[in-house]
Amino acid sequence: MRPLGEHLAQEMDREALTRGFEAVERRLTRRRRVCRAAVAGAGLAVAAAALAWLWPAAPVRTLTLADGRPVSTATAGEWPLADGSRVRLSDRARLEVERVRGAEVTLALRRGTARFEVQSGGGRRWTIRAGGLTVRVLGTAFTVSRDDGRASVAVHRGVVSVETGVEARRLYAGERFELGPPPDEAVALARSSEPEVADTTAGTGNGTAPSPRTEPGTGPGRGPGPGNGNGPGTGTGTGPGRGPGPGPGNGREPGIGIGTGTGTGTGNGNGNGTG
Amino acid sequence: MGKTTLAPTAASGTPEASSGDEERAGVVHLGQPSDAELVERAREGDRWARAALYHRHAPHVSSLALRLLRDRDTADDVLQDTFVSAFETMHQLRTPSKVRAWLRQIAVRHVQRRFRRRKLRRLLGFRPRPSVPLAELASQDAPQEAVVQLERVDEALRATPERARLVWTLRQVEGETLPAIAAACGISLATVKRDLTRAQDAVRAVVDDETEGTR
Repeated sequence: MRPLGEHLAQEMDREALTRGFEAVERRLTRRRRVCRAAVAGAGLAVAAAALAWLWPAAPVRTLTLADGRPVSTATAGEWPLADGSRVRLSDRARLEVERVRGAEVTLALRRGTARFEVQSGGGRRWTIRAGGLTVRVLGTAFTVSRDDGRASVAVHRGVVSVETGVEARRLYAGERFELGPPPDEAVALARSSEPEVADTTAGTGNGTAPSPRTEPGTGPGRGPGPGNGNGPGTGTGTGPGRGPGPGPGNGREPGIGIGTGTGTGTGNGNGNGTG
Repeated sequence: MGKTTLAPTAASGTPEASSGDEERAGVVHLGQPSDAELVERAREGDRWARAALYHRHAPHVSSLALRLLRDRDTADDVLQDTFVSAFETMHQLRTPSKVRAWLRQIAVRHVQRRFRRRKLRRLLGFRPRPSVPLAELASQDAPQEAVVQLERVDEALRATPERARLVWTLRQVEGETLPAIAAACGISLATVKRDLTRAQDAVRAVVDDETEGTR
């Protein structure tokens, strides 16, 4: 049996074929354009989303005070903040808000002394820069001072993290760091604390420091002896007592001097603890 | 206007006419690229090869769509849709020499889509457009008895569901094999047989057994 289809027409005239093919081509072109536009649009959307995500938000340079006013630069006085923290500035102090981004607050102490009482659990991460010293606050009360190239931080309560660009350490209640002006290329970081440091020999200074440098340094210790030099150079201290004492010396490398005891002494090298 | 089918020649810039019977018989003239060659060239973006494929196979796809849909406008749309789909997915054709069967399969899918649309329109209360009688599609040289038979078949199929009519038409009019119908319609072989039997019973009721052929 022959299929019925053989009795049916299966022709198209040339004009219909040409017209039909042109219509197909037009549709293909249109669809390709739409497809390309969709791909480009999707790409743009992804790029815009990535840009929005990566692009840093415009820095906020103000903090909100307890009474709702914004502050960007604080000078002498007491500054209660909206989160319950307080900042007390000395007479000639100047504290600037460098950046507030989310929970991160970065302040810069240009000069003077600032005492911070950071609200514990306030949800903010505070960073205070004073010269070469960077203090990261972990919920505490502390004082930052900056004068004539010297910067220091003293912790009254809690704990802070201190960075000098050379090293970083934690500072606990009752401890104090001081960053002196860099003699030559060196940076001296001194720390004084309660008599918890090892050497308790009264009346004599005892400086030890592993160092290839043999040239003795000189420098008066400011803290009571015995001093304990811990850093490059050697140190000697005499006299009873205890106390901190970063002593300028001839050392070329940074060192940390820890002095305890009372009296006077001389130290060698940077960061000599002298008593 | 004279009716011709067209086939491409490689030498000329545009596809040229050739005998539709020869094309249907799979005859390839010397100098005319084969389907496989045209598919390869079309895949590389050759517009001329696309035109050649269209000119070679559009009459077949068009008549198939018209016989299945019985609506000239919708059949024209299906013809366009079929070639747009084919040119866009040509890289998916595994056997380029079987491009005609592949086009037929695409066309049947588009026809089914139109059936579903029609059904929805009916459900929404739209009146269906009058369908073109099968006899009206008969070729000029068809014998009178064949035309009469087409009229009777047409009448018998009116009452059958669309899918059964589709399966019957593919089998009895286009001469497709049952597995090919199953593949084209996206249904199982058992369903094809069931639909075919249903339509065949309806046809038998009004015409002679001449068109029987369920294998």
